[in-house]
Amino acid sequence: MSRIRVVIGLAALCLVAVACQSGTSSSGTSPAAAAGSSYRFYFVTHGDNGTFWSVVQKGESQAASDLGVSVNYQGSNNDDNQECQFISAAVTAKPDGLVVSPHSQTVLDCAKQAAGQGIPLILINNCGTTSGGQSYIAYSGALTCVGQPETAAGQQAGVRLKADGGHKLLCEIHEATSTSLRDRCAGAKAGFGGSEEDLVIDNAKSNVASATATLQAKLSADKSIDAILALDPDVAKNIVEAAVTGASSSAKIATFDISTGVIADIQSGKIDFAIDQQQYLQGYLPIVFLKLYKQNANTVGGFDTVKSGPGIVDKTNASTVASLAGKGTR
Amino acid sequence: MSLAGTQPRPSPAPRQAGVAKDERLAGVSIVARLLQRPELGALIGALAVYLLFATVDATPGHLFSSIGGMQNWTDAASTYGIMAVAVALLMIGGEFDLSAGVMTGTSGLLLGMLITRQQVNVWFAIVAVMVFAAIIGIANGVLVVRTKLPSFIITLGTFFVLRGVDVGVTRLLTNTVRFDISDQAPGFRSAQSIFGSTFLAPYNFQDAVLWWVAITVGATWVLTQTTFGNWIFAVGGDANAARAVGVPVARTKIILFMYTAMSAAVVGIMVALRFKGIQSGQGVGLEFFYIIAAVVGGCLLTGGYGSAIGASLGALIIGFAQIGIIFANWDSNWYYTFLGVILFLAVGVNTLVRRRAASARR
Repeated sequence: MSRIRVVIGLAALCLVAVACQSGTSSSGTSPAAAAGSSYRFYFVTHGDNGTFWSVVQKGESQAASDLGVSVNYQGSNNDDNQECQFISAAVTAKPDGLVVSPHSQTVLDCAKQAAGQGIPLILINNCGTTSGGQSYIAYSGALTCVGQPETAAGQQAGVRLKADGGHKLLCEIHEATSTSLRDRCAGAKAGFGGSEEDLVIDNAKSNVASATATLQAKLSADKSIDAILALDPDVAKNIVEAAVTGASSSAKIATFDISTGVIADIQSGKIDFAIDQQQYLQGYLPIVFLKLYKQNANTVGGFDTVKSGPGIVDKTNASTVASLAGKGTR
Repeated sequence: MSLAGTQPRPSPAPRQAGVAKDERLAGVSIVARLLQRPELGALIGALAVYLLFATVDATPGHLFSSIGGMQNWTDAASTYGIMAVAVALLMIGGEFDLSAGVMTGTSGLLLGMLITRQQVNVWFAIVAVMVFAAIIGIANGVLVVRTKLPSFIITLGTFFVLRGVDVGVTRLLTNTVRFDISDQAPGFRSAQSIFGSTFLAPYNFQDAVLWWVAITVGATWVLTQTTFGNWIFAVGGDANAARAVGVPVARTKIILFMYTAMSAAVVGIMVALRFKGIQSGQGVGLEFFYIIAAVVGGCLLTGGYGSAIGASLGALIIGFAQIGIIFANWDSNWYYTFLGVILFLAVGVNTLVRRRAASARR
């Protein structure tokens, strides 16, 4: 019994040690860089440790080493409170520039305060508008925002599906209450130009079997649907592909965002193309922009969004993207 | 066991053959006896919903009432049905399991983990997942029985624990939120042909439909023909009275929790094999569909009354609605509203029938 306690105690100690270590190493980068008299930038996101944000982080650290600046990256795992704490910690450290992903209005307000203190601010990833209809850039006083506007991305998907011979488009919304998904479908409708229909299957990802049955029913009810836009790689790979096969439909499938499975299916022809928001650029470009601003007082983007996407991954570039994804930059 | 005399079912159709003419049995016609079955209301509700959607069907060729349409709504209903039967038995036994939905995800993810990380044979992984599910079910049951806390609270705890574990462990191991299972894994093809394949070639009904039917028949047999079935009704009707006449209340409840968790494992395995992978959010929120199906099927929230066939019919109604709304070309934004109204209708019909039946008894 006592031995078990010792083991648990040791485990707890290890955990504490690891936590402290990671704490010091991340804040330790800045003083080291300050000694080199180069620029010090802070990079605060709502990112987690997932694939998506690891690509952003790769972009940011590559830019830092390419440009010889120091970047302190902090991900807050979708915790608004924590993200604001990181922002105020950054403000206290008086950096030469700050990059923030405005996960919500709360975080945007925190970023706005930082900009108010005279710290050059660049937003990434979520380049939206406030409920008052003001752009995030104008509201917060940021120099620019690097991201993929949902409507524009949807529009490109629509244009491409039309060009690939589609006559009737079905846009599959897998979360009923997400504004960004609605924006994507609205964009797709505009770009497609022809007849478009939204199909809402709420919580589709937590109920794959029944979502597939529903979509399959839709496809057999309306045989004229010859193009389907999925808004998530897993929805495309599982639900949409299975439903298309089940309804023996010949509809072309396009999707938002890439995954290894989706890239493989693009190569084999099961999926037509994927809309890629190229989040590497959301890590790399803000550092370039901040350096240009500090060094030469340039602003990029004319106080409007700098689009990191949509890029398109299709059969022509899928193998390149696949090998780059293996390196963690796509 | 001489439990027949103490059977606490509120409205059992008297089963003992009338050897001597007894005036207490005199007025009960076959129709009245049928009307007293808990699943009859659900049957009429299901017929009503079926007729509704067969009528409003806007597709050319009336897909809803075609065999192709049947494939669609049985597919949509089957996984609800397998779980609804388990949840119904548990509800008859007087308990809830809010972790039933998320448990489908946990077991599917465990399957994915064993196959992709440990590279074990798919069949071995299936056995391991079933054992794991049994342990979770027993844990739920023992906690409920020992602490005497409402199962609503205990299984809500399990729900949150598993929901976190699902995402946490998947992220930890794969750095994404899903496990992709390769169809090259040893034993995959044979396992998929049992759990996640199709039958009746041109129409391709899902295997899950067969499981659903088999489980419904099996559960009905247990419930109506076996001693254990009597125990289920007894512990749900009045646990103290049941204990007084020698029913092993704790054991019965624990077995029911175990059965529910293992049913969830079967569904999780089906989803993982059919779609060659599973997402960490699988099953979250589905527990309510199971409970709704059981209640529409005539189970009382207070326990002691209900049927497995009824729960299956409840699941069928959900399947009808889900697919019918698509064929009727109704706006999919209103899906939940339609579903809610249809459930009101079904429960309304159900209650009406049951009341008529209860008054017709005398």
